[in-house]
Amino acid sequence: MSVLNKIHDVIMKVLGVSTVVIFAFMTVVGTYQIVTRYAFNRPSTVSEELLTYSFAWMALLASAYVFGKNDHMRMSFLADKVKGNAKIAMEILIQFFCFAFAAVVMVYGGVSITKLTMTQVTASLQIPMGYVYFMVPVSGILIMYFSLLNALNTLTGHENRQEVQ
Amino acid sequence: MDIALLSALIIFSVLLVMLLMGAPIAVSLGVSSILAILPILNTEAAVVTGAQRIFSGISVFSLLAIPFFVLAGNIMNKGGIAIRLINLAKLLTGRIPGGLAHTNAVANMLFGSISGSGTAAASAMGSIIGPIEAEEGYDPEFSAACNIATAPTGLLIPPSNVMITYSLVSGGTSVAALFMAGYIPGILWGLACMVVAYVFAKKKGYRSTQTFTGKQKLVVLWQAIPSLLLILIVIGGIIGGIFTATEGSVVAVVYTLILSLFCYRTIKVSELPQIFLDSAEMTGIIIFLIGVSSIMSWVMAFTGIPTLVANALLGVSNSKVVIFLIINLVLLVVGTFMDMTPATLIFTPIFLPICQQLGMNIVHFGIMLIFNLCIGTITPPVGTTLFVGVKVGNTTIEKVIRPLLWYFLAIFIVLLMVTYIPGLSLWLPGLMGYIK
Repeated sequence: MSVLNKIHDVIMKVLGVSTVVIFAFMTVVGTYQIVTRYAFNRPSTVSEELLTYSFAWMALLASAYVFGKNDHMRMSFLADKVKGNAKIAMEILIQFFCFAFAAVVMVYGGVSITKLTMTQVTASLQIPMGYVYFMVPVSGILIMYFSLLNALNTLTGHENRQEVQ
Repeated sequence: MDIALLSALIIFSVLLVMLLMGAPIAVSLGVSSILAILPILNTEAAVVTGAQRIFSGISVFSLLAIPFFVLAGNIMNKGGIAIRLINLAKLLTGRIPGGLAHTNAVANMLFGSISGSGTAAASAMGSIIGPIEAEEGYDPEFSAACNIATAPTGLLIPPSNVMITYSLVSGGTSVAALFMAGYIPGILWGLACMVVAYVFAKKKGYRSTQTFTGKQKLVVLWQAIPSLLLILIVIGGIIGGIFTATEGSVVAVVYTLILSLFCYRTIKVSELPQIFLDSAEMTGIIIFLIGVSSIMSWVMAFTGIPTLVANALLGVSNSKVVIFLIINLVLLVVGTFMDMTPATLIFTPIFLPICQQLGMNIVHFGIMLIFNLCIGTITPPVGTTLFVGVKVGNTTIEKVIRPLLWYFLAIFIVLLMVTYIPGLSLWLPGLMGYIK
């Protein structure tokens, strides 16, 4: 268990740094885009596309990060009233749903769509669409890992790491 | 069985069970949507389209305004902006009985127009004004109730991330039009609460003790100018059509960064990574919901669920007044249990078509929807702003609920006005030429 949790911490560290770096990068590119549009009166389509896709990547990484903290928006007012073994069973079922969704839609579906779009290129940057879609399965794999770990921690009575409240 | 009905049954029952279990809302949306499309579409196609919808749902340029506004708000929350706005609000409202409560209301409206977050407003304002109010002998319940009741005005007064989400899910409604449309309903909400606070203050004999000298007034104004200038540049720029909402949000980030790093010196460069990470987390939560919900809107459109709901509602009554009332009640109930972003994502595709069929403008519907959901943020059992307001106000929900009921009444009256008088939402954007 402790090895798995150590891996979790390392992944979280990497995810945290990557999202912050991409976010800072977006801020710079966004500023650049406004400056080129107003100072040089030449809107840059490249920067708009770069911004959009780096945002999508950042958002996907950040949502995996939030799964790592088990902190996605949920309605807990009823679930909080359940106690004991029923609570554990329910928590594991929830993690199973997260795992299944990530595995089937984000990883299986995501790999298919990545392969399908390798031949298309994006409008301005001219890179294969598949490269951009690639982050969907990556995020999916991370979510699978986190939900598996959350379930194991619940089962073995470990507090879920960094869980809020 | 009719295919739309079957899909509707699957999507709503699975969604309901998963939500009540406490599963992440985004995952509940995704699982229920994929299951609902399976009777019509083969699994392979459903799953691949699902993955594709997630990505296409979030790689949208106008959505970039969300992380940037969140970031600008977080930078501002660290800085000394709240106290400067409170001083300004005090200047405007100091002479009214119960002056500090009015200061609180006005400061919430001003602060919301910068941070765009009801909880941030409730916590910033409550923690600063609350102690001053206690010193002047105000009951904590009274102070907290007014703070809580007026905190959501910031979600109607731009910038508002929920409006950006709505603009996307409603099929590209102009963000500038929505921003303009929010002003009058948001200000009316605040004013209605100030009337309630006035009556309470009169009854309890609260007065205002503080007066400003001419010089103090100038200092207060001078200190508030940088914050007010932000509203003027960013919101003015967006609604004036000088730049897009996304560009405006970038300007807000740059402006707040310069202001808090170099002018107010309230943030150190070493604190920035944490602020970026917090904002990225918030973004991850919201954007993942938006991405997965685009699977749901696809499934709904594909199976014809909105038509089904519209027919059911029209079967109950064909009077506009009744149907709008039913929709308001549903949204109010939903809002008490569910956060604004997921509720907007789920209920826009369901209710917008029928409202449009009945002649409601798309901008007007958005404001009505957001107004309803705003009320949900300050009602039990899951009002996030209520919780924060109670916590910083050193009181309990049980105690605060009695004075709060009068505020609810006032807000509810404004809600009915906003629903049945389209001009309240549409006049300003019409004036600017956003609505013909």
